[in-house]
Amino acid sequence: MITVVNIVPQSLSGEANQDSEPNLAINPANPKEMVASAFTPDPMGGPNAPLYLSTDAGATWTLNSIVPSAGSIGTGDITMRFTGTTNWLFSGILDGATGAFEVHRTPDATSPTVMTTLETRANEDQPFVQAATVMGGPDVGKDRVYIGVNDFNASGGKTATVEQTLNATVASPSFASVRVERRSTLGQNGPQIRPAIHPDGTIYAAFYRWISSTGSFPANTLVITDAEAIVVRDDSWGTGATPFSALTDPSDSLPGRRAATGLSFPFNRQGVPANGQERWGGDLSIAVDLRNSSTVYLAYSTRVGGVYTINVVRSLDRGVTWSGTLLSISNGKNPALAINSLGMVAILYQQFTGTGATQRWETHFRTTINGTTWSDTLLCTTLSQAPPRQGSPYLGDYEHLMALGKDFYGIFCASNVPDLANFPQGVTFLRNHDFAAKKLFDLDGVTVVDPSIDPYFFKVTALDAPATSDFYVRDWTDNATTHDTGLEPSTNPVFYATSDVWNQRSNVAPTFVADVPQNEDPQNDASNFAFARVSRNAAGSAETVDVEFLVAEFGTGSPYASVVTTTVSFGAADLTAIATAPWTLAPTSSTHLCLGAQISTASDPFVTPGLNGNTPGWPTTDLMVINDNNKGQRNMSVHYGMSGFGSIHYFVVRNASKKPRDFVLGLRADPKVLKSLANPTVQVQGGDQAVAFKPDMRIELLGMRAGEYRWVAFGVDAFKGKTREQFPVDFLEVVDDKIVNGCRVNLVAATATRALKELLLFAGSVMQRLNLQFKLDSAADVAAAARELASAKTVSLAAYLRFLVANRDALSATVDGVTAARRTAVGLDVASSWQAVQDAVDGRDARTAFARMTTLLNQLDIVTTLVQKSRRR
Amino acid sequence: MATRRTSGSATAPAPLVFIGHVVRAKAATMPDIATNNTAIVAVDHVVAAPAMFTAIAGSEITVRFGRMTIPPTGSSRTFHATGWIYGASLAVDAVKVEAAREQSAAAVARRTEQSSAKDSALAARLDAAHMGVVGEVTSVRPLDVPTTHISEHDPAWHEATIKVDEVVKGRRGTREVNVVFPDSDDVRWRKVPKYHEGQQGIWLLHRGAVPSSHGLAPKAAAALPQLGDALTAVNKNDYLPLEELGRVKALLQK
Repeated sequence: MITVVNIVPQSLSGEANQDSEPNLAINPANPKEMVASAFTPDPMGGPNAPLYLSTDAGATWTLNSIVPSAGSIGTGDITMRFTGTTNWLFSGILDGATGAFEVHRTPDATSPTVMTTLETRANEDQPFVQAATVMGGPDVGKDRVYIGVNDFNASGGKTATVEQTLNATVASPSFASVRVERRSTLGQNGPQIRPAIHPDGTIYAAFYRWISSTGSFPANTLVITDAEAIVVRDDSWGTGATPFSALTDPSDSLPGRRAATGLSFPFNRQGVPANGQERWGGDLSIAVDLRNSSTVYLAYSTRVGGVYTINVVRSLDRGVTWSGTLLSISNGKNPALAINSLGMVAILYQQFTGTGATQRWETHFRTTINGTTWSDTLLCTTLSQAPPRQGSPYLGDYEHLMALGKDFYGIFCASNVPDLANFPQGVTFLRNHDFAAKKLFDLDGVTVVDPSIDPYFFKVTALDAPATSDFYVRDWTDNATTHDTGLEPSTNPVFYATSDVWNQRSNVAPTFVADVPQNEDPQNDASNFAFARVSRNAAGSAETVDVEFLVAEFGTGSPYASVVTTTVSFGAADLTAIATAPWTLAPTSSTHLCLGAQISTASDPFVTPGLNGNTPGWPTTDLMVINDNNKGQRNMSVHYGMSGFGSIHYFVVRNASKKPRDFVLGLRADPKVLKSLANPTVQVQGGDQAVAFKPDMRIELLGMRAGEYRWVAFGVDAFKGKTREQFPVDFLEVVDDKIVNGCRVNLVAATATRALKELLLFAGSVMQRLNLQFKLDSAADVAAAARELASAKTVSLAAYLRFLVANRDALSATVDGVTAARRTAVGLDVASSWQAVQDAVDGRDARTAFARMTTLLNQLDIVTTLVQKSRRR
Repeated sequence: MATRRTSGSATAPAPLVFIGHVVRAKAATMPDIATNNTAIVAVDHVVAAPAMFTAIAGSEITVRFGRMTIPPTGSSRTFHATGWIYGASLAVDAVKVEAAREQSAAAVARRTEQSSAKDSALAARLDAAHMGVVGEVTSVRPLDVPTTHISEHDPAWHEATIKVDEVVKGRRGTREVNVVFPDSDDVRWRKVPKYHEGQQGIWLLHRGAVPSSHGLAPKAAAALPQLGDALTAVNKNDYLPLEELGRVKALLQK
């Protein structure tokens, strides 16, 4: 389904301004909220320039004059973007009066409060804004803005620049000017510098390197006779010392890959009738595939046989090599690329067609799945010589297309003659009009208004399932009213702790606390039940949804594996339905796991590739989960503890590389979390003693062999928190300054009974594994005793002490057995840990015994895992 | 956080003046904007408005009264307003509300107000001008201004030669002057006055950029080129048709 709307509001029915060069921004956190721009002045000559604002997904629009500029003139060039999750809107403009480049922001685009000016600089051109919120890794939650500008203040003619701020919503964000041109030029770059953001921290930017020219710009005869389309890349949000240096060209080893060379195009001062009243000057658009940051598409311009032509190419290897031309559009301009969450590539462009008096401007929307076969949808076709040009640009030096989830949204400018024949997909006019008479009317409904250029918003939803059959798994639930509504991408950085995917140890009806499902860690060789609450936003027909549950071992490097599939039936009126299926955890497996779910119907399949075979963590499966509302996941490595006490928790890391290397782990924790932790430390196998845990620090596991596993320990002396309060700490695998994986240790404050029961169940699992792995009968005895006590209605501290006393000999035998079996026991001194437990037992200190037993069990669990891994290898 | 700027100078007349009557207080013609200080007002007669709003008579719009008291329902008033929201309906901010006048009287008052405001603006430009001349453009040519870069927003500076018939301000006896202006039709320069051969009128000429910027918004002044002693006429009030000569001379004599 395609919706096209002329966005000039009804109250401006009398306007006849040339509202050209449109841009569009949609709030990912609230896709019904959109802003658009064009060269539109404040209608009453007010002091600020307007943005078009819609709060109903583009159906209706108002003008909100909040851009600091000369309102009676409007702005010069303007583009805007929302951040990913935080509702902030950023704009980059050329001031209507001064021409200066300015950056503005507002936390609420619907507010009449004028945007705050963050930067003002002279002699910069064509700002093109991109923005995102970091959804994973060490800088999670930070808003980042990248603005491509042609900065004539740059020295040496290397004017292509990306203005970037890595923390855009702090009180006074600082912008750094990154010169992305590294080669000599004609004296400057072309004005089109276009960044593209991938949420894994990969940032691309494309620009033209001008090399030679003929003719005269003042005489309107300038031709760029030799140019190159250059693509630069940064792999870590532009945070390094030399941003955008990751991609070099083999010919000179300089940053910036030549994606296309030998290009030639005019650079017009103003439009002329022979060119459809439009000025032409090189076009550029770049888009990156959300599913895989290695896939990037580029549209550029060049003359082919003397005809101005858009060419589309792509790279599947992060810009290193580029395809031949995938699509070629003669007399096309204003290309705008976007890629949706399905990997469908779309291009919007305008094409000058026909001859003589019948020449027209056509606006096309085309898509491809494979890059070679393209659909073609004509959105608009209007005469090119009417209405007469009021100035340059006639339609604009650019337009815009973007994808949000599976949908495409765009904006273009065209004649506003209300002739339905001009809009093959249909159109809605908000301003007074008569389609039959093909005339516009003033506010009185009688006075005819001359045609002019207006902006048109459009949305393509044919590729998406309607709300009635768009099934999703919530990535997060805060309470019954604040939760994921199926947005793609989802908008809460904590999407792995409160998702609608959970495990239960029995198949009883699930309980929800404030609408949040209550997860139970799985048990070895016992009944586990995977659950997923599937939702849709509108009742429809009865449907059956396929649900696949997957499990991965906790840590980094172990992929998801499918454990069970099932279906869940929706009645016609149902908005939610709960899927469940039994699954079994191998008796030798750790209970620290990640549980995933992916759902499908015939009309709403999950986006491929699925979770199966992919390793949990940022950014691999995390991005799959965020971008596809058919997927959800939950980190089940939850450690229940008692406030005031601490312990040590372990996970394994694996060098998935085929070569030996130093394995780098980045550490991250919310400062508020760290304040609740007493003396947090981290220690790695093969490293020195435990060191203090500091946010943003990195630790190395030196010389890890290919495929080698090692343990990492995170410990605290104590933590303080209320019951159910969580204290997550992240460990992130870093390769070449880029985060490629990660895992989270999540401490949860629990009541004594809950903590004791969870520990007893964990003891049952660990002891069972020890029995099977090391043939220790004593461990089997402890496992049985632990599970028996855990099955009691309540477990008191006194009962727990009695359990430890009663099983003291068996536990000693077990620890001795493990020590004997693993004399080099991977550097973990389980004997000392057991002695510490006994000391607490002797002192009748049940809580300390609990905490120390937690450490011991975690050690035994990780030892077992490492032994298993080493034997498998 | 910045706040909304006030519209124009304190003496600038409100862009929209109309005679209307209050239909309903504490209400609005669009969703979600009604407050205790808004009212639906029927526009009975437009006294003055930007071109796109001259046909608004007969419509109901929303008026926000700020700290002013909303007139009684049904009562007729003359409203002076600036823009607020432009959507399915129009919402405006009242800056002055007067007793309703006869339409002709309101029009006279508005003309007087506008004339005063125009005189004020013109007087400011006259005061700042280096010269004021009456004449005709005899030639226009591109001006060779060194530039460091090529931009679609280049002003395309041109120079017009004006044969001077009369000097209304400045050195008497001047026979000819050159005036620099941006010929570009780029969005950046589209609304800056352009001059063409054969054009007659009155030019208020300003020397260089900064000294002649009086009367321009600071931002606009900052945008003027550094053209040394070149004469410019880039403000919309810097060029007037010949029929305004009497008014110009009258203002010069004040």
